Amino acid sequence: MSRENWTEVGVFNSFSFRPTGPAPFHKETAMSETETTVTLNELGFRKDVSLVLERLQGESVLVERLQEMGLIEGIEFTLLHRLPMGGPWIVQFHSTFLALRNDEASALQVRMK
Amino acid sequence: MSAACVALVGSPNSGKTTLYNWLTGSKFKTVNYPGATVEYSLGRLAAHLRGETDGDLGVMDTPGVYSLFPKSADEEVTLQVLREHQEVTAVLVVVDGTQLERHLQIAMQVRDLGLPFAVVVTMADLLRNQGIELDLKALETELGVPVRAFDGLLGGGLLELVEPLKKMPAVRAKVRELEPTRLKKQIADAHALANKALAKTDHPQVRLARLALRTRQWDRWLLHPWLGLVIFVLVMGALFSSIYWVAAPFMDWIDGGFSWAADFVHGHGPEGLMTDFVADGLIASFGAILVFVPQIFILFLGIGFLEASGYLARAATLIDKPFSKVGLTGRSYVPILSGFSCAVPALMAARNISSKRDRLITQFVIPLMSCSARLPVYAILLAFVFPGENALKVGLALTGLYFGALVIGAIAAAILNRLIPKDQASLLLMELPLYRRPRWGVVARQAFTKTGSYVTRAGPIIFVIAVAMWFGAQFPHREGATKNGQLEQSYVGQLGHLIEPVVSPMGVDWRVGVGLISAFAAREVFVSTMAVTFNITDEDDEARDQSLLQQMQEATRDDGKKVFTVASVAGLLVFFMIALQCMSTFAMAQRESGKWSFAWAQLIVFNVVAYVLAVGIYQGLALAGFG
Repeated sequence: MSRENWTEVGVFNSFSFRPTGPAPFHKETAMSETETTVTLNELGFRKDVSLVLERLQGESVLVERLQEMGLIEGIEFTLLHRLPMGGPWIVQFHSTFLALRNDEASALQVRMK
Repeated sequence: MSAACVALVGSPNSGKTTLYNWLTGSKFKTVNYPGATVEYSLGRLAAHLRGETDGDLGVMDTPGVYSLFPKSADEEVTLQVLREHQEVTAVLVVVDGTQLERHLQIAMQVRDLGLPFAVVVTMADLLRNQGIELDLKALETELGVPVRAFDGLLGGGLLELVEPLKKMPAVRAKVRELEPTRLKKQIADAHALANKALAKTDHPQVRLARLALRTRQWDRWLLHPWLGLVIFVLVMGALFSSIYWVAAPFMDWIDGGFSWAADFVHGHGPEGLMTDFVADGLIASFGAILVFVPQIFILFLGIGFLEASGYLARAATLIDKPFSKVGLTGRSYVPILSGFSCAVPALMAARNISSKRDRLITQFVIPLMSCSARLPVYAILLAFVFPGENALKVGLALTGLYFGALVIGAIAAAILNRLIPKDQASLLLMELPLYRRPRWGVVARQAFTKTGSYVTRAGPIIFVIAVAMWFGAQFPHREGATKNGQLEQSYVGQLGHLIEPVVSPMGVDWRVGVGLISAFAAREVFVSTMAVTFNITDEDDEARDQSLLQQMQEATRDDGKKVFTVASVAGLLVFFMIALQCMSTFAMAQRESGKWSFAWAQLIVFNVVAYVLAVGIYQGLALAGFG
């Protein structure tokens, strides 16, 4: 159930390297052209970037719990950390901080702010 | 008299438990919901909050929930308590003022349930620091129920919040079913309501972001990809070692106290079995329970402090990926860590794990974590292997034993992970609370309550087994026999002889067998029993250990081979590392898992594996020339 995107190199991001490999760059151009959304995993980690949650897509239990925790459609949040080796994502919105696993993050369809 | 009862409902980090302590004056009992292993607390409104004309008011604390549409065992219990507990006549929804938009939805759900309720907003002091003034009147108007603020630090607002509770109807209203389709509207309404409450303040979101700034700054380091882990290891190491260093003098003090009491009884009581029973049976058994209390208390204190500060959630997040790889979860690490002190409170700590599957796997491997009762056994066995005060080698070997326990635990968890099918996705999806300065008073009081819980849970079992051991070693009673002679022909001694064929493949004889049997009461009893079977009469513990070491070097089996060799001691070390010999752990495992089959499986699997490995290690090393 968990998808590990091998192009994400969370550790390197803290030294401000861009993730290598063509895929993210292509996605970026694709997004600005057609405004499609990607999952958080597909986007890859960028420190302190602001994102908008467009849609939640996944198992109903997961989607419901994400909403109950405050990740509702339309909310703006910031990506703060990604722990190494495919570890949890840390996000912030308003005065709330959440930690999400990979498979939980894959339910978030986001676009850059 | 109709006993009205208010149930506190709210999120895990909302300050609900602190409020509960204030309301009940910290006097409450924890109960199990029938059929579940989750607990909740029942108490009464503290006397000084009750007026003279008021009747009794029960106050109940429920497990923290994020919504009344349950997604974990904890949340199911809360919903069931509200729906089925006939005593509950009103609800107090506890809402964290810094998390209004997320927590108010619980108030919406309680409203849908049909029970009369009030709302209390906590963390108001944090908000005031940022110049945020909540419009509680607007909330009251919109919700149609009393809304009060409460300051958990100083208890401000307590009387104002108790007033509306006393006016709640004392008769239970009809509870309605919650409809899942309403959730979206409840969340939307909660958001709108939160915005209304913040409307009185200018730039509320900017102020809230500033509130979160300090947390964000701390997390730059504490959740740093590798520095975060380093800090985590340091913090856990500090906690772990402080449990031993700080507790040690208290444990010695308690041990000494009970020894003194036993001597006193021996000195002043009439010669005979009754005196022996009181001194060596009763008093010694009480001592066996209470000697661990300092360690347990400090463990709960340390963990309570880390939890109240907000760091515990970060630690669970840091360790989540490595732990998930072996079938555990980030939340498992507090129970696992606690297991290094004692498995009994560790099993209690596993309650926080919401996924049933994750919880069972964690509970299963907890007894493998080398608890502190194993230390005296490790100490004497390692002293044999490395004679002559070789502290460095002993230290390294000890570290090796502890790591070995971790590795075996990881293997066991990984195996279980493969065997047990994943039926329900386990969610981490964890809230990282804002960092706050913990209040030592509250932390200490909670640690005290939990320690008391440990004593009342594990106490009776340890006591019964210890007394049973005493009887087994004293009967059949031979007048005037030496300690050694008495033990040999007693029931325990006879049992030792009986199992000799089982222990001899491990390279030892019936005398060690007797020690292994008595270790079932408490592992550290192994050393004192061995002293008796090897006829050590020294009174002083250190002198006794020295004499025991000497005896161990010389003791021979019936066939002339030495009992204690590097090979056999290595086998014993491995046996103690893995075997589940603690009856309190067995009883607690049944209680926490809710299944006898679980506890029995744990007991049998660990002891069989320990035996097989011990025999294997002995035979292997003996062949290699260490026998």
